[in-house]
Amino acid sequence: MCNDRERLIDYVYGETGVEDRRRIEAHLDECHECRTEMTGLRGVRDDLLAWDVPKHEPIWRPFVPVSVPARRAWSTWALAAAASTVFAAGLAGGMAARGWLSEPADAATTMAAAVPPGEAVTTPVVVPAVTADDLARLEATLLDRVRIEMAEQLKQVQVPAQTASMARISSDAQFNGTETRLAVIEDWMDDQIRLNNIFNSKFGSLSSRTSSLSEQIELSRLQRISLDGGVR
Amino acid sequence: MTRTDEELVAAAQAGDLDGFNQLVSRWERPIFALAYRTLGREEEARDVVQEAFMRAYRGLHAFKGEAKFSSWLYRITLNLCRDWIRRERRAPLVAVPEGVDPVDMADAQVNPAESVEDLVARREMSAAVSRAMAELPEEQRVTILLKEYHGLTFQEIAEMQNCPLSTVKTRLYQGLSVLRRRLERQQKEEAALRRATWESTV
Repeated sequence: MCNDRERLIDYVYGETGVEDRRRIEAHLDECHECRTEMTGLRGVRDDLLAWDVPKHEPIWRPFVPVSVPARRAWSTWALAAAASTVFAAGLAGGMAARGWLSEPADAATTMAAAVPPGEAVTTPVVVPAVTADDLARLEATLLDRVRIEMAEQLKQVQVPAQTASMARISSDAQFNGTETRLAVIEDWMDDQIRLNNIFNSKFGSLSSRTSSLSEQIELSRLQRISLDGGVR
Repeated sequence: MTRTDEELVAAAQAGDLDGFNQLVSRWERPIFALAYRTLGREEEARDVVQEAFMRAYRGLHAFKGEAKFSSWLYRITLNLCRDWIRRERRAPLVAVPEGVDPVDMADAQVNPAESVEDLVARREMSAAVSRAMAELPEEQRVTILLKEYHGLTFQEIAEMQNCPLSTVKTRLYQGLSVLRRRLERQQKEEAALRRATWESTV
């Protein structure tokens, strides 16, 4: 026992079984050296209790869950759906007239399907309490700007493009020459490609802006937490 | 009803942020105490606490509950402290109280029944323990911290330090023995100093 310091440590910390404790206590009654050692260990443990830790204010700022209001989700999706419907209608008109441009129509469907309703906005965003409102306002402002800009540009694109197309259809009916028919078809191709490009640039821009907004919010949260997150 | 750590961890893993907030609230003070006693620096200890909970939050999905949540947190904290010491190449600082300010003393007087003399003695002992602990090898110091101030079992410390149970007990015994000798020596030196001061004023 005298050389078994592990057992003495077990005893000092009360991590011995009943039987072992009895044996150690019986030994301590007889062994002055072990008794002195045990008293010394208990004494230093008492001294350790004096080591204070400074008082401090709470360090970590609690998380507050913030969900972006569904209103923005619905508006964004509705805008995207309306835009794709208008575009698909335009393409369908062209196809009915010429039996052509099936490929861009598929592309439009794919683009519309790539933005499921509410995906970008129903994901809860975790931000520290103080910045949540700021971020929500920032997001709302940016989305509103995108929506207005998108609606205006679509309006400008749809009217002249559809008017020009209808004019060509009626004028096309007046010509029977092969050369003339081919020229009209080329014009149609140009129109549809231009319309498609414009739509892609606007609709694609909206999609990427929506997703980049979510990324920016998450990035802002992480940056803020890294800088002062959790510290009051 | 108070939820257990395991219940709060499960809730936090399922996305309940309040569950994580409650875990932080429950463990912030022990984690700060561990960081402070390991580093001996308050500001750095605060930084470690912040980073420890950040890492815990990010890694919560990977926490499988094989160890206790608190042990997992302690391990994260100690790793951060070790990183800091290695990065800064600095030894733990000895926190020595500067003089005896009555106002400061009043703040520190946790127990109103404690006399100013007792309070001063306790502060001196706190500084003495801090000095003696700072000189211990890291393994012995961390073992004593986890056992004395955080009540971990020998088995938990062994798992945390990846060493046999017997090594933990040996480190504890050696560390406490060294501390005991140093504290006794310091107390003798302080007593001799007080005696010399008294004799010079008489």
